[in-house]
Amino acid sequence: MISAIILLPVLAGLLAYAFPKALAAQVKWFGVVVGAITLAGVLGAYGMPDETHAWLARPFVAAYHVGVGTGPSFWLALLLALCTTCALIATRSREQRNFVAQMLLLEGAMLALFLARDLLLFALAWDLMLIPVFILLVGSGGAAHAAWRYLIYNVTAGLALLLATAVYGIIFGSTDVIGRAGLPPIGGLWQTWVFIGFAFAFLVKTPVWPFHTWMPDAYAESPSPLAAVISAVQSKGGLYGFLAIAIPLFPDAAHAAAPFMIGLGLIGLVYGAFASLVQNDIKKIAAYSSLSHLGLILVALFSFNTIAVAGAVVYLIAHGLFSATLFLVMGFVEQREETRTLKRLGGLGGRNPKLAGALSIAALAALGLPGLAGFAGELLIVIGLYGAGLVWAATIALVAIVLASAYMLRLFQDVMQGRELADLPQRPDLGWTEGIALAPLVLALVLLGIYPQPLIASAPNASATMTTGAGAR
Amino acid sequence: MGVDGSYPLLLVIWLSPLAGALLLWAFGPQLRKAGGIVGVGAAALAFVATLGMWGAGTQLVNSGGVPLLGAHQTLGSWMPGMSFGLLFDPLALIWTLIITGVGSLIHFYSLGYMAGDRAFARFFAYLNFFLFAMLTLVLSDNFVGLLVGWGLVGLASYLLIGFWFERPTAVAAARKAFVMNVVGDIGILAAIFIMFAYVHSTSYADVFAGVQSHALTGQVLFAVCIGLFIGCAAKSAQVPLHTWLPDAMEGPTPVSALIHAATMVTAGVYLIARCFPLWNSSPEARELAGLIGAITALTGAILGMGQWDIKRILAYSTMSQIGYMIMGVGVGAYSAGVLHFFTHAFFKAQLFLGSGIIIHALADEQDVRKMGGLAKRLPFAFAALGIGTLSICGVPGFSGFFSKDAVIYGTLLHGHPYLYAIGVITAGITAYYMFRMLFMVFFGEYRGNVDASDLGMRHPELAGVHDAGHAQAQHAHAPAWLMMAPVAILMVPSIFIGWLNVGGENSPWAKFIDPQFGPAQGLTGAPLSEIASTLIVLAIVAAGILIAYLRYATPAFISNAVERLRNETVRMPGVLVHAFYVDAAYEMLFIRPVQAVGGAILRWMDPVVLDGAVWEVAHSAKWLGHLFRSFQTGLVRAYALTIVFGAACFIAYYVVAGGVR
Repeated sequence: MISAIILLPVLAGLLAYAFPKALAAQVKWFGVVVGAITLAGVLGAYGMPDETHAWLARPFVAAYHVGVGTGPSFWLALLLALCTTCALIATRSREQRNFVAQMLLLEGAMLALFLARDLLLFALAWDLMLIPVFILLVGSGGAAHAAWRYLIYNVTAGLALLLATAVYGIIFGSTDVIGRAGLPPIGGLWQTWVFIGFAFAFLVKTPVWPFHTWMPDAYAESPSPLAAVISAVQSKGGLYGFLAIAIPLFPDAAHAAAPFMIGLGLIGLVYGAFASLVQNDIKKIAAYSSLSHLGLILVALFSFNTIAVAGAVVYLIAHGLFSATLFLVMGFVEQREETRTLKRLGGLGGRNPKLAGALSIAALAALGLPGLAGFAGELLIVIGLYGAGLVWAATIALVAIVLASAYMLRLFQDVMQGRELADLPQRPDLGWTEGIALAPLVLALVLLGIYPQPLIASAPNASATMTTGAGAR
Repeated sequence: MGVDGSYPLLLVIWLSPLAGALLLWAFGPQLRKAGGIVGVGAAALAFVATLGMWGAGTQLVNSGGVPLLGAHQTLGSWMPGMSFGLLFDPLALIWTLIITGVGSLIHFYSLGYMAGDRAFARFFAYLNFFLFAMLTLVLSDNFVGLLVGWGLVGLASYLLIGFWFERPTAVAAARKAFVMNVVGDIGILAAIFIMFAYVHSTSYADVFAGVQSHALTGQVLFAVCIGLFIGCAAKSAQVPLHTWLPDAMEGPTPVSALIHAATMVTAGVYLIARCFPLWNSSPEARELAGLIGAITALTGAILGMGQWDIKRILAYSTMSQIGYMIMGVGVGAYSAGVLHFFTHAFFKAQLFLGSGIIIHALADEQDVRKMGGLAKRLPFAFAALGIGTLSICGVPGFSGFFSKDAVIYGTLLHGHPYLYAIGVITAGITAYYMFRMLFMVFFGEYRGNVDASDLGMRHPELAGVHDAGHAQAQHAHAPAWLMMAPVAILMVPSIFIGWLNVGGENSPWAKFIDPQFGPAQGLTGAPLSEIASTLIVLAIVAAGILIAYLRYATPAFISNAVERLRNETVRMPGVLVHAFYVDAAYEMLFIRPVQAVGGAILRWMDPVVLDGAVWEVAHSAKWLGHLFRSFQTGLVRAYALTIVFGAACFIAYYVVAGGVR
């Protein structure tokens, strides 16, 4: 059953290539249906027992072991399925067959990533999920440099991950370890080196300062539905890796690295906010704001405080939801006005009230408006950071909240408010398909803002994680 | 605190404005004119439910013998120590009455004021949303719920300041208000995480119990109070976080009356009164709040003397009056501070709504230099502003007299002679600038036809903020009854509501609210009797009125008004024109440096230092050069396929190898 959830989008993606040219316009709806079924499948697989098949015996034991569980894996898979479906609804690409197919392949690879219970499977899914993004980025025109940059950074990271996995497997004897409680950590120096390998990959993928320079271009040059999925979900691969793999499997190394990680996270938190405040490309504003928000999650994960980690899990999902919404709305703006430059935009809200409403909700969620999901995450994170004695980290997080309100309002107001520029193309307001693409994301933002208990409850107990290796499950 | 249980009426109070907002948001364009009815109806329903709840609450007390009337309803819980509920006690009731009662009147007024605006339904949706947010703030039984309300009223304020979002000035004012209020939000957030670390809960009851048991004490308690007070200062426009309030007058006048005078800006007063156990136990916090309140009262009054825009005069007077309230609750005179909120809500709403009638009648003119002699033309507005002015100045018999006197004397009772002095001086300045406004608007000759440059207005189009998006007929006309009726109703409490405080400890007000705050603490005994204090204040107020009369209402002034106003305009001191240069300081200290750092990141740090280093390494590797050649020859697809193929081989190998086992 769990394998079926992973395989469905993969097979459907390949099938999409087989659509005849005459039906090319319908491929998108085929993709949407597949996405919706996958979404239902993930929901239905909540708490389902794992699925295991023997795979490798030498040089170490590896298994095809996938599981949904009830923890962050489930929530991230759900986020992925939701974002993919919404992104496909919003798709307007000319090359629909290729785009839809690659989006579905991407969904399959990333489902495998989040549901993998075996490190080797995880590493394999990690590399596979880079390919569709690369292909779509390269094919979208004018974005070749962004695509190559994306590939080179992430393949390097992927190599480090694969190497670390292999070393871990050889030393420990098995890679079937994700989410397994009570494993003895591997010893001394090797633990440090393997941790560094994993951490490097995760830092690049998230990305965390200073490994982020591939990200603004990649997000800005991607077609918006793709940008929505990679910013919302693929970026979580790194943070999920820390949460479910690097911290529980290498507790001593993680503890030793904590000051370093917290430092990087905090630098990114402020750095991204400053950059967002002066950036003129609307998609890059969202990209740098991601750098800032994800830095905060990294800090929370390495505080080893139960409340902060619960907040991190809430914020992982919340960030996914508002990031996807932001990129989709910006895509709509870009399609209408044929520019992403803040200085060339302005006053769109007057004749596009619905578009303005959608952007305002995404921006408000991103700046942590109380009542929306981002706030619940931020609140728990700062409570946890202070509780863990990280007073300065909590204080810097507060400053970043003020900066976030400044750059998100700048983004919203400079696009939607003020006097409308005369030479902007006149296009109709948000259509019903676009509305349907955004509605579930916005609804989820509101619901999780009021009722984040399931996410809080699903977070691993940080102290247990540290001692027993009972990671995300 | 009250009785636990399920209270449908309480939910009606809380949720009916939300229902109205959602209805208007979803169906606004279809509802058109009916949108106003929905908006007013939702507000009125909440008010009626409040009255019903009040009656029910009183019964509960009588039957249960609880010393405090009240009700408590739990709603849900996020995690241990973070649960949510509604608390309806006398303090919440007072705010709820103003929010829903004065709120309903202002909704009703807006039917007339906003008639003809393109976004009529959107306006009522925002107003209803504001009521919901403000009720969340005052009905919450814990600090997180309070913070949610706190943030949402900030959003409502932002939406309504920037209601006419085509105007760059309104957009800028809205952004400034929001960001400054987020500074306050993080203050409260900091207070929450500190208190959570010590008492492991965010509910009022647990935190106050923690203060009692000394789990929260000393420097930690002071830190919590500072955090909360930063929130108060931002929301209630206290120095130095006050600069957003005058700019907020960009919003439509009913918004200024409801949010930026009667309710939202008094949230800081509510928070200190609500957290009185914290303030009682932290003498440093009392000093801080009292002092900042006094400074704000004085600063607002001083700046009020130099304004020409009628709404900005009222905005600075609001800032000054909230300074009084904060000073009152800050030093421990909770009952007096809350009473001043209560009376101020009525007379300040009346002042704003009255000024709205003038603005409406004069086709969006807001500059008092261009008014004059309106007493005959707009007698109703004259009555409204006249009563409001007498009340705010503290003329005996009017509501403001009772509450302001109680606050000023309260500072003395709690041992703060310096704050008392500031309070008395501010009362005199208040009388001066309010009567200055009154004389300039209603006395003498009408100056609407005088050329702006003759009045010394260098940039007439920039001279003041104007309700320019206000789609009104361009000729003066008498206000419709829709706008007059709410103002007429407000006149009654503006004059009489303060009388509730007559009778000292046996007055209806004291009997109602004093049990909330327990026995008074920190009383030192006053060196003056209350009568003597009142007489001193009245003498100063009379002096203020007299100076205003001599400067703006003598026959000599009236016959020569244009030249005198031009002289005053030209000679206005720079510190008043630029409001003590606080905005300029913020620009230099915060905005410029942040922009400089951001620019350095984008131009230099990211592309040259970080990325440059990586590419230096990458370019030196030969295989990369190879990759780039294949890219340049256009074989990208082929290359991508190679990767896929490689991956497939990888999988196949391991599947086979796995089978060997």
